[in-house]
Amino acid sequence: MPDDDDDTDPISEATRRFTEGQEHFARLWTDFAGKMASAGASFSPNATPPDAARGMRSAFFDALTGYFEQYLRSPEFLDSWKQVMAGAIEFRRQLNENLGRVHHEFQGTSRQDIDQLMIALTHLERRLVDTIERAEERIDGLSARLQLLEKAVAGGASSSPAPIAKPKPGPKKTTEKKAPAKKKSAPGKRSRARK
Amino acid sequence: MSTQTDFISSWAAAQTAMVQETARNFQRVSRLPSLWRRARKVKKGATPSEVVYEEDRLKLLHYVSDEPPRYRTPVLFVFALVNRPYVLDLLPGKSVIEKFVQAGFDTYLIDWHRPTHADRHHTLDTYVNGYIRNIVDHLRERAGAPRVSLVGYCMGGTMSTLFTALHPDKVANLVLMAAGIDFETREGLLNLWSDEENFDVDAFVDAFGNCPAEFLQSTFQMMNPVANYLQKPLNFFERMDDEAFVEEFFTMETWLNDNVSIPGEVYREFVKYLYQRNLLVKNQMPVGRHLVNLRNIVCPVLNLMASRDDLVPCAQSEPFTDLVGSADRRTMKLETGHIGLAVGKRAHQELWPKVCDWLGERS
Repeated sequence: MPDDDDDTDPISEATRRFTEGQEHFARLWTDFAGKMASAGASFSPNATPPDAARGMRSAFFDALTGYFEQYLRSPEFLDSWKQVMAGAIEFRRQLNENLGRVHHEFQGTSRQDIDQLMIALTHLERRLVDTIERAEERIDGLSARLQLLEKAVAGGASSSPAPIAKPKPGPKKTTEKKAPAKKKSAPGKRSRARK
Repeated sequence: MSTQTDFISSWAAAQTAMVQETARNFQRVSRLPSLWRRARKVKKGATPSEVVYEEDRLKLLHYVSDEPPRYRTPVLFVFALVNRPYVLDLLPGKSVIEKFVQAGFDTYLIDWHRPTHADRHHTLDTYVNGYIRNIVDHLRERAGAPRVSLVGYCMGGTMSTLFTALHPDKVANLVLMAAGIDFETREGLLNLWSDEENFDVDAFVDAFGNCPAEFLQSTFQMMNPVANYLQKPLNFFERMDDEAFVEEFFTMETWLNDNVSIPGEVYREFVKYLYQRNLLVKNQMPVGRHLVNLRNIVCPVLNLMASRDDLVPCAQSEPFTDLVGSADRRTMKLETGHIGLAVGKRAHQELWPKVCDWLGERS
């Protein structure tokens, strides 16, 4: 049963693609011929045959470079790039899985096991570092507040009680906004979330 | 009669040229074995250096000079994680590092070395708020200077930018060399190929761990297949008898083929947050638990670009100076390619002396 949304005729689509391919091919060779001919036309009678050959070769390469530049940006190339990458990724994934299985059959430790351990450790380290950094920031804040209070007490000979100063944020290690928690770079967490 | 003589003499000249070219080709082929030996003995790094700091796999190189440094603020070169950093110190006379040392700067370079599979969980946070921060703190203490000048190349430039935005109090000057900042453009092939529609970076990193060096190398070469696979070998063959050319060619090729893998999580963040979502220019780029705000960069900045750069097109680095909070900002553009910025003749004649002057005035 034909799909209502897809109203393109597969035969005309194939014809269109074929014609486009033909056009590209024809354009490539026309370009080559044009550049080679212009290289030949600029040939000086005093030039030796190797020099003339070099000139024509250079014209050929120029045309080929331009053609590749277009091709490497074309949807056809991008499609094949995606397919090649998907194939390579799948192959590698299966290889990892099978090698891991072999290790496990021999009651050994596979790379995946070590990776999982590394992820757990990295996650633990990240949490510890974050906690220490937060504690450091709080201590810095408290120190600043304490300094303000000390100053207030020292200069508070006046009759009225010294106003309690609003604490300034302590000197931070970095001066930027905090990233939202979901963007924390815990590789283990990220990997698991995707699975 | 004279037309006949002309024809005969030009025919004879053509024949002679053909014979000479053939003889030269034989000579070239006969040189190949000795060149092969030579290619394996390329020296990496031209300026004498010493390791002054080590952490995990990275080494901090300090370039030794007979003269005491003229400027108090040390200069730290931050290189990309993609290749080895000795392109900045490739050959005498073609070394950026040498220029800085000769100009009187106390010069340092981070050599990240090759990551192993154990490093796959390292994130940009590990590098920016970990390694670079530790190195900068070490340098401040070592040089007795309150701040350090950063020179970042390519991906190292992006990391230097992240560092400067997160730790503005530690950076005196920021110099970027072909650094990617605004990834909105699809002018470069890398930008197009790593688009969300065309590349699933999560699946890639989950399957491969670190981004393999071979993958990076083939991707870079595929960006200009005619030049890399046809023109370059032919050009080499034709100039094999030019000693200076051969030396330069081997040194350059050794470096080009010396790719290193990128730690998986760094690659994921770089592709996803920059190439695919372009978060840095939106001031939403997460590094660990912090968001990077480019307006926090208030130190003098110098943005160096190569107008024929196909890896980091100018459109990708040009917006930088408008996004920072610095009052002292400057852009310099040179008619060269991505690597030409570090090793090109014009770069060494025209660009680097100006950069040294600019930095010297602010150090």
